[in-house]
Amino acid sequence: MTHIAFMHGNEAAAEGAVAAGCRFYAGYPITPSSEIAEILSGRLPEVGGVFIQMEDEIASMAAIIGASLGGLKSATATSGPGFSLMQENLGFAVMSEIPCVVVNVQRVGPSTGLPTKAAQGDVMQARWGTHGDHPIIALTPSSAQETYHLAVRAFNLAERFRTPVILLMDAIVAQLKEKVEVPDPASLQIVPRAAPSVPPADYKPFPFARGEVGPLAVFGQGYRYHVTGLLHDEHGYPTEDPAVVSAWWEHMATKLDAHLDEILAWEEVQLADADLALVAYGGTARAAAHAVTLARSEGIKLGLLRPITLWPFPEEAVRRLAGQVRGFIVPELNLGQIRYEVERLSAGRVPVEGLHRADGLQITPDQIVSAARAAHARDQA
Amino acid sequence: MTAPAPPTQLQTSFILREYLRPQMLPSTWCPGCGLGIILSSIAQAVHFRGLAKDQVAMVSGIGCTGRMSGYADFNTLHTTHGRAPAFATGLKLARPELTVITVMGDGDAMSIGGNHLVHAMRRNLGLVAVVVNNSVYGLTGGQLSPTTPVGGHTTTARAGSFERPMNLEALARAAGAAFFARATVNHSFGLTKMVERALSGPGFALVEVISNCHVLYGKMNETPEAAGMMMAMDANTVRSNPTLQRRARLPVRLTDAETPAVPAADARPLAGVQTDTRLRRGVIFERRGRVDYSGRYYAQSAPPGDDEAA
Repeated sequence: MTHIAFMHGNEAAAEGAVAAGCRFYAGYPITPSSEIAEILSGRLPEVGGVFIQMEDEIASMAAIIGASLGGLKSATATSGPGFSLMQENLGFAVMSEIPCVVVNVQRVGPSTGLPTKAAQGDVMQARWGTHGDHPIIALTPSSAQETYHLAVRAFNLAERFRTPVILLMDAIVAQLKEKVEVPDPASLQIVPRAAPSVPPADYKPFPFARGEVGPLAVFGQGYRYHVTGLLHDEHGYPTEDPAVVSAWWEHMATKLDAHLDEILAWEEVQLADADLALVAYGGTARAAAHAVTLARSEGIKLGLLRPITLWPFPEEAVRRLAGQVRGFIVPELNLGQIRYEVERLSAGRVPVEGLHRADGLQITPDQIVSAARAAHARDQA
Repeated sequence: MTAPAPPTQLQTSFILREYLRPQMLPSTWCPGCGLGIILSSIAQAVHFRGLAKDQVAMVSGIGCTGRMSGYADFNTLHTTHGRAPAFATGLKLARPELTVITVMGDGDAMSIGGNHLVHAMRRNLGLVAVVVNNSVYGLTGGQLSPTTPVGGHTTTARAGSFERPMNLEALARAAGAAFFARATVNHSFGLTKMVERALSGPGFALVEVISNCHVLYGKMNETPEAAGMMMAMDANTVRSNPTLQRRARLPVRLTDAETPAVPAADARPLAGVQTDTRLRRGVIFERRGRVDYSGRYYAQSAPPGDDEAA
């Protein structure tokens, strides 16, 4: 049965993970994500799962990959500096197609930065943080309620596409306590770990089926295969054969792109008649949504596009809007990481203005309305 | 966790081929490299312990030793540089019934992965680690390693290394590993027996194997042939006799305060204290029984996939 709870985003992420079937967590304490580890250290043993505090974030990421190969849905949580340390093995999970979930509660960087202050500066790191080209999924919630649902979705997408999924939170959402309707677990759609249906002799752990992934056999169940961070063939054996490498890239490059309709999510707020659009996400989107209401009371037709999947980015939605509105404003707690995307997609058709700050404070609805007023006045002139 | 079941029948015939992946051979290892001997010894230890290949996982890092997991017909995981113990920790907690063997080189285990190794030894989950120590970075072309002896020449220590080499035995003892043994590839029967013993108990069991890299290290240090380097390894190690060593240690039990300050120039070996700098081969220490608390990770219910352990 659905029940009402009062939770902050970190708690919602932890509870959503448990509901999604997460049974292994390895992590290292870091502000402002530590509550996730604290809560799961109690919750996981209650549900037959395992919690371990590792020696660092590198090891945390390694341990969840090992546990996932052992058949447990696995997650870790961290913040900027820890996320930097995880990039090495995040790439390993991409390369070896091992499902896992990484929660990154963003704070102001670079380096130690402002540890207790909210930011959205890891957007591009989530996309390109590990070396080499690669597909990745990053989800970004705007409320505790949405955090719960996106945590469930992150595990589902990880299993469905055999990929690491990043739940990219910010300290605004992570630390804000608010009402959460906790759904009946039976009402949730959960993607279980797919098991191979063929005998071991016929099993290919890494099939290059264009746009599809095969099941990942659990270690110890009769399918002895090789997992490596080296570029490999469908059996997992390392190869340098350009033909095989090309086939591997074909598989990697298409495994998410062929399913964008399944993956992409965004919210549109009063965009139907908008002639000025905000693109905002995470905690900042809350101020943006309020700014839409304020601006409209002044007669400015402002709307909001709120990406929920940051990666892959809802490109078509922005391209379409670029043909409708007379300008974009992108408020974000960084110096313009998603603004670059919006600029790229609007391709010079309409002006794209950034509203950025990375000083640890939040962007207020008034600031956004002021920017909208200025853009509106410019349009009228 | 429960120890692997003892062999139910006498295992007499060992066929190495049954433990290899023929499609991955020939290996990338140089002719005469000790790694083949080590892989064979691990396979024999698994065989004589009566473990099914499906129930064995081999987790390796990066380097020449890292490639071993590709050749062994177990559940194999070739991870990132130095991180093998952390991957193995996650796998072992998820599937405690698996026998998880970690194989690492000296740079992998003691340099980039030093922290992971220390904490894996401290946690004492039922993992076996085989650390292949050839004093040099082989795969990258003969650079300085954390175990390069003082005076040893490498491509990044051309005048000879002046850094103190890592003492894995002391590290294992301090970190709380349950078992530590040292072998050389010259004594493969002993190596097999040590790996067998490492496989037989709870806790973290570490086997250091002194191996030869004549192609890189030997070439720069006057032993360019495998045989010559193996003879040097023989000369630089001595069979351990734990009982005699315990006796020898008994009379000298001084605290720091009681130890007379001796000017370095006047320092003389004390009677009864081992002055032999040769590394000891054999089972160096074993402390079993009270070290493995892995069951505590599963507080409220049985570990996944293991109905017997509570």
